[in-house]
Amino acid sequence: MPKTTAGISKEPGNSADNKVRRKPEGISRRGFLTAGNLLGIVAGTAAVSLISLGQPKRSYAQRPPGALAEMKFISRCIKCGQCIRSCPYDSILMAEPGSGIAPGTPYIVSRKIPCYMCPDIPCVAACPSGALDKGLTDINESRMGLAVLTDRETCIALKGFRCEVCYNACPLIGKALTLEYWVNPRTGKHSIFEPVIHSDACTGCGKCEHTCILDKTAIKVLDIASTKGLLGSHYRIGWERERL
Amino acid sequence: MTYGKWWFSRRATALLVLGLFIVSARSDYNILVGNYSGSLFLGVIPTTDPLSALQSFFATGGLYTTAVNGAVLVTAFYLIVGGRAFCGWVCPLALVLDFANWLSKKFHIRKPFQGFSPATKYYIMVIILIVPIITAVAIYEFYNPISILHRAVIFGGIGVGMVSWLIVGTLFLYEFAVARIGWCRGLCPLAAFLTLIGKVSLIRVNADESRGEIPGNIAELCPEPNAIIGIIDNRTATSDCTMCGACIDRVGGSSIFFGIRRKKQKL
Repeated sequence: MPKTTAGISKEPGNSADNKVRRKPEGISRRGFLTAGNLLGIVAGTAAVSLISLGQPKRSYAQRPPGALAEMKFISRCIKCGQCIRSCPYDSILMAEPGSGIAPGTPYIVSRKIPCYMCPDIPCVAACPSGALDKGLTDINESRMGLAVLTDRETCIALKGFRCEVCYNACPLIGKALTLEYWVNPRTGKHSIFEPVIHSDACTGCGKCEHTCILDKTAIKVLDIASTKGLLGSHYRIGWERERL
Repeated sequence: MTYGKWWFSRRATALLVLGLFIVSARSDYNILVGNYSGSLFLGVIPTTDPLSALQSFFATGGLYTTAVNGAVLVTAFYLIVGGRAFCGWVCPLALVLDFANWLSKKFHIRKPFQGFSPATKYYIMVIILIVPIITAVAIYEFYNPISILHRAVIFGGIGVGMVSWLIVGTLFLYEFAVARIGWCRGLCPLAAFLTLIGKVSLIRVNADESRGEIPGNIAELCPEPNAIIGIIDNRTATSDCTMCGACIDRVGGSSIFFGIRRKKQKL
């Protein structure tokens, strides 16, 4: 036992009826609010705030269904892992420090195990903090991310093969993922079956990414914020207005 | 160190809680699902680390009912059994760091650094509660070593990474060979938070000389020297006490005992 802690002497002879007054080391309410201490708190707060702001603003992690916007999600989440335990497919993982994803937060790696979109959404039910929004009651309304055909050069459908594997894996087939046919310009008599993703229906479940037959997938779930474009309001899409 | 019934009880409790978390995470038994930050006991009772809940609330301005209920329950529990009873009886990091200290004594390590004053942990606590308000990021919960340890132990193997173990290992070394006032007493903001809860908690370690002798060297046994001062001066431990029971195990008799907190008695 150290004998050096301020204000305490712990000689073996000390007994309960020692008359020497000892003050507990540490802190009193008055001692806490001195100018120097306040300055220390302000300096420490500033330093830790800077570290906080230096955290990655946007990770490319695919989040479980119902996840709030990334910056809110990583702080509302109390990192308890109950969603991980609730997932019947073991889709949800927990981020490690140093992984580039906010440590302790849940995420999904679709290429390994995608979200299978349980209709009762057990992960949202299990979340105690509301980081997975309880307002999500229809799994088809979830937006875990957005599937993007990231590499048209390796997608074999665009080479003229009949693949359609991602199309057939899509839980919202025909809505979130459609096949667009056009003439193969190389042969002039065959069709190209191009997989096209529609962001108004895609939940970002990742089954397309999971199932892509390439060695490295050409279709990936990315975060919506950094993926979606935004059309300037001055554009008038006449033919869409006609269709209405 | 006297390995008496309280020592065994609290080690057994800490291992039981950890065991239940691990079993519940890796099997179909839903006994204690989650981890020390938040859990669901027997499918009914929520628990939430109140300090973690506060950070989340300050960062995002909201928290769902379950987590709030859990935090209230946990706070109420420690208001009864003594704030830092968590440190002595439950905390998984304390298991590791107590082991480091035990080894340190075993090998007669001379620690070169006095360590940070026990006051430091209060400043850290204040800082980690202010920062989420300013930056909207509950930064401490990413790197809280208690959380890093239990996340790695309970859910480890799912995610791969050595950084968790590096952080825990660094603290182990800090405790083993560097600082005399280590992590728990000097730096841990949760210990600070629980000490504050302990200031008004119901159960304390009390002393009564009419029941038997109080050994003079009792302070040497106490892992939290601030606490034993309360015993010596006021016959009731201060809120720094982790309710570890080392002093009770030592006296054997009933002169020091767990009981309802007394009003401070001036000598």
